[in-house]
Amino acid sequence: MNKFAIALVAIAALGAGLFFGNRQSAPDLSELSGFSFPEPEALADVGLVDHNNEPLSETDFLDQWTFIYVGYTFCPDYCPMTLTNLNQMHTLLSEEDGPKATTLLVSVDPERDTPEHLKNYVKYFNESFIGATGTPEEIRKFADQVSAVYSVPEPENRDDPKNYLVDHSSSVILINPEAEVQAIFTPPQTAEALAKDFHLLVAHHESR
Amino acid sequence: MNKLITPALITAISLLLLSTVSTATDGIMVAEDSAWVRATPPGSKTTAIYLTLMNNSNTDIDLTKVSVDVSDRVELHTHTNHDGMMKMQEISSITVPADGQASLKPHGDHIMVFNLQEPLKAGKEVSLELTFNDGNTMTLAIPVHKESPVSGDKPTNHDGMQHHGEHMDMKKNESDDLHQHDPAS
Ligand SMILES: [Cu+2]
Repeated sequence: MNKFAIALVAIAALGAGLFFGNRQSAPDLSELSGFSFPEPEALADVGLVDHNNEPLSETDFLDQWTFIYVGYTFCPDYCPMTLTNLNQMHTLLSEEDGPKATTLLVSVDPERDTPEHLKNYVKYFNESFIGATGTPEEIRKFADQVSAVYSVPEPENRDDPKNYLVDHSSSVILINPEAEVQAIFTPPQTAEALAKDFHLLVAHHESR
Repeated sequence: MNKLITPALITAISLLLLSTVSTATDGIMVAEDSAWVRATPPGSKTTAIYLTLMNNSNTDIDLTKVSVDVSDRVELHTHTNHDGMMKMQEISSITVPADGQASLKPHGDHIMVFNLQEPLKAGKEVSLELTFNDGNTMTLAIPVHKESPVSGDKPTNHDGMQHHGEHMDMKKNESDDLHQHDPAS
């Protein structure tokens, strides 16, 4: 092989490197472990209360990224597990210089989950977490918008008036800074996968 | 080599055995370090216990009842997906298949604890009694953890061993009726 051929091969390799390098730096949403909505819908008519008993409306979601989990504090498995994962994800995000997020737990069990109880509960997982709840009607209206489903048993169907269980979906939802429902993550939601998806989604959002 | 096995060492080993594996019933043992109970947030009255039961006999053995020292209401639960919702349901028993295992882990089967008298704090222990359909019982003390201590304990329902082949040998209950079909006996 002469010098000319070697130079050609080198140039071709460099070109390929640049090409693939460029492709990698553009956010590729096909790598998401969750699902990103191609045309995110804005939250509307949100009438919840936060854990300080202050009103929480759709405008409170503007200018920040918010992870939402819809559950209840009596829950022994999915809810603590998911909030633990979200806490670990926050730790990962805080260790780097990138974008940050807020996490919100929306309780569908206002009968037992008072704002004060919710506050103690979420802060056990992470000091920055926020709890919210509302009237059954407001919760339903909100849950519908973030594709969350749940079923609180009617009082007459409870074996034990205080110890009832609530069936609920276990997805984590991500709201973008325009207060739109950007993405949904179904279990298992590991901290690493959530953090990686978050970076991709933020990069994609900033490039659009 | 034998000189190394001093009485102090034997005591240390015995203590270690006691803290990690409990007495096993015939055929059943708890995989090392697989058992834990979730610490509870303030005001929470429920929690879940997870562990991996291993059956080295050639008959299925069912876990039929569990009691704990921190509550008067304990149930065996499974999770089912019901119209996209996760539903916890009481089940009457959990089968540990012959020469197999049953993994109770997050998002799967678990031991559900209601009516906690007080919050469970990480670092504490809970005392557990397991009853099996062959009449045997097993007692063990398990640690309270805020996060799953089981490495690779991803909340899926695959049933691989967490630590391949690292579990302790079971300590036989030599006093009475060893199963005649127990291959280890
Ligand atoms: Cu349960």
